[in-house]
Amino acid sequence: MRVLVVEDEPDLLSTIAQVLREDGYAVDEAADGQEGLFKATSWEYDAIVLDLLMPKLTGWQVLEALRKTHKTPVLILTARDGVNDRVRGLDGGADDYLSKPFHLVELKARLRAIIRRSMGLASSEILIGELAVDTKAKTVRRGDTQLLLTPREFSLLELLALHRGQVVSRTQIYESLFDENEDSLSNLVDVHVSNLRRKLGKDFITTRRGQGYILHD
Amino acid sequence: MIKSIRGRLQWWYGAVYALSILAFGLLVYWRADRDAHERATLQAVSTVQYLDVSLRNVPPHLIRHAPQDSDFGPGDSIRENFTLGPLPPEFQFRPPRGRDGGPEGEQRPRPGRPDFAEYSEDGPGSNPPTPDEHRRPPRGPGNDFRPERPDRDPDGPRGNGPNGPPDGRRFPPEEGDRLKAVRPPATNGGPPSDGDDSRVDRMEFVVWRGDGSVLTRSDGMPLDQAAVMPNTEQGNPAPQVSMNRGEIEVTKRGPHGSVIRVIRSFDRDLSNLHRFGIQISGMAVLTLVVGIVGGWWISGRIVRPIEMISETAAQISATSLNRRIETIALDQELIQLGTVLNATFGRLEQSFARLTQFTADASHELRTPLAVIQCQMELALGKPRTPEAYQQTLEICLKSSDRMRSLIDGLLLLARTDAERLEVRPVPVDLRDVVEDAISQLQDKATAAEIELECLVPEDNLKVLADSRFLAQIPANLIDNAIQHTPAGGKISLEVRREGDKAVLTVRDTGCGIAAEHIPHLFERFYRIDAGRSRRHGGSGLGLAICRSLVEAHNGTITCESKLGEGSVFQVCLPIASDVEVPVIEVPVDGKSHV
Repeated sequence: MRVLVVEDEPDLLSTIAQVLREDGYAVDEAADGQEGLFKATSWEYDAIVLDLLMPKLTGWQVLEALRKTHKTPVLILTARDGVNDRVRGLDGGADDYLSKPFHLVELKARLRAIIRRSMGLASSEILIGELAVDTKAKTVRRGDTQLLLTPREFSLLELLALHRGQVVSRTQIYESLFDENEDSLSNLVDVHVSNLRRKLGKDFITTRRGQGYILHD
Repeated sequence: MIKSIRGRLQWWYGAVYALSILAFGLLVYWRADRDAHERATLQAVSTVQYLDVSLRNVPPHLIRHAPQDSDFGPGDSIRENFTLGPLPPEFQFRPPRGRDGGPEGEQRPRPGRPDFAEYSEDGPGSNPPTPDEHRRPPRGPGNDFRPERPDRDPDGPRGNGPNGPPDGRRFPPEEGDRLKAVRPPATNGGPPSDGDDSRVDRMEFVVWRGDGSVLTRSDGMPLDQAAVMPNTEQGNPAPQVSMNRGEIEVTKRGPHGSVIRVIRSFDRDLSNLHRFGIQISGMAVLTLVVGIVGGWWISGRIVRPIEMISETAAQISATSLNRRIETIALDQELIQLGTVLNATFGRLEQSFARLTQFTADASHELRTPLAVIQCQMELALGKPRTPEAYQQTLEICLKSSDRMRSLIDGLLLLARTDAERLEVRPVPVDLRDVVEDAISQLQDKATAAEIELECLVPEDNLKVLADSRFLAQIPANLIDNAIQHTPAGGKISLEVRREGDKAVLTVRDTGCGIAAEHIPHLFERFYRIDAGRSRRHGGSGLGLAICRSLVEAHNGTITCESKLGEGSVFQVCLPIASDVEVPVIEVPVDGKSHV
């Protein structure tokens, strides 16, 4: 999962980015509205965390410009918690609203929720055959057996599971797994895929040459 | 009720109405009273004159003294022929609606007004006893009377003469035919009437001969009357009118020493007047009631727009301040009220909006560092970290709490100056020292931002009356503000000088400048030209607002001039202490020296 955090308070920005990275997200940071809008329209994000009062462009302006082309789920994060501000934000195209100060667990839960909704899922658990992928607890079970995956492996499995039945390209996997600061090698994806195959079963992930990977039911 | 506009309108309206009706009623009553008196007097006088004229047709010897047998020859028919004839209708009373009958209770309705001639046809048998005087036919036909008809009485007694034909009290006719000739039946179109009139006003008369004996009299004439002319000299022909106890008495000297007296009783006129008075009063009360009810309605309509205004005003609350009174529908007088109220509501809405904005801004400014602290703590506690990570967390938390503390200090200071509870203990302070202190405090920060700080102070001391704790914040805030908005390599120059009785501090920077539309709002709390800029610089958004509050608490002024891209100039004017204090209190002991 790749998310963008747009926040003009540097300490808060770094804290949120850090906590989301520790949760297995690939996180991009933007320190003002202009930078945030540029990044949001340049890459595909699974979700955007957006502050409202920012220099150059306010959160509302970013949202308005973004909604012309993108459906990316947006979580507004702001200290302005008046009813009017919330209504304006939600009507402007935001998917959820969280007012400062907040608990990080709530931020993570709301972020999961808007991503899940955007994928059209009702629950945080994805079932693929015997395999249960819990996106909340970041665990995978086969029957009663807990499978141990690294965060990267889990992110990859989650991505494929969310797009199961569809071909997921290598670029998509790169963009989802690695943020802008990570200088990752191109064969890193192949390493993670082979590790997953080893842990879940050989024919679990099918390779489509020249296209990418696909997860069948 | 009394204190309400509607009540007052109602009472005044009712009072004016009642007074008008009362005045009108009194006037009408007075006129009617006067008319009735005049009419009655006129009737009596006319009757007297008629009798006077009629007497001239009578042989003088019959008038001078009581008749004796020697006055008549055998077979002389003068006894039968002598008569004064009837009173022509002009001199008769008739009931207001042409009553018939009279005391005899005659029931036959009469067309037109009763007429003596007609009456005579009824037969003399019904007549009361005739006077036993000798009768004599009148000389000529009845138009003898006409010349005597008073022209002063245009409507005469015919329309409203209260009396029926006082048959039997007049000279009753003996021969109807002749009387008809005397007086043809009148057809004046009076309405037919019948019924009984128990209160017929009487007109009684008596004629005395020259020797004091009665020549003729009507039945109702009191017998105790004396043939005396009251207060008149001999030969005065004018009728004497006297009025007493509901009667009008007219006496006149007739021909040949006779005396004629007519008494016109006035009871009926009086009772008519009373009835008229009661009718007027009744109508007045009715009109007053109608008027007051109508007035209530009218005043209700007048007060209605006021009620409308108050309804609208009542609906205005903190959540619906945008409502306004519709002045288009109002009357001219109320438009002003409505406009003033609307302006007040507008100001109220603005200040509410400012207050809401201020609260939102203040909470925003407090929540942001709080969010940083909370997130940092949560992150640090999420899993075991390295000591360096913990140290970083604590540093970030300290920075945030510092920011919150300075913000709260600023808010408290502003709240105190707002409530005028700032304890300013003014003492003469040299402004140069204050400014130099501020510069030395901020020199490091300016150097770090690569900004040159320059100061120009006068050689003389420049004392202002101020509380040094608060005064020091003014240059400090202004310099800090300038540092935040001046790019590296810029210059901030301070100048302290004296201008008249003012000490002036000028802070000039070479920063980015401020657009003209922002300058009026610059000193407002949390006002931001760019929503996030001051946060990046670490400012709370209160610095200039605090400056203004403090300057105003010291009776000074603060202004800003700026041009976008060329930098800004802030100028603070404070009153100089020496001008205020020293001379008056300490010097004039010997009256010689004034400093």
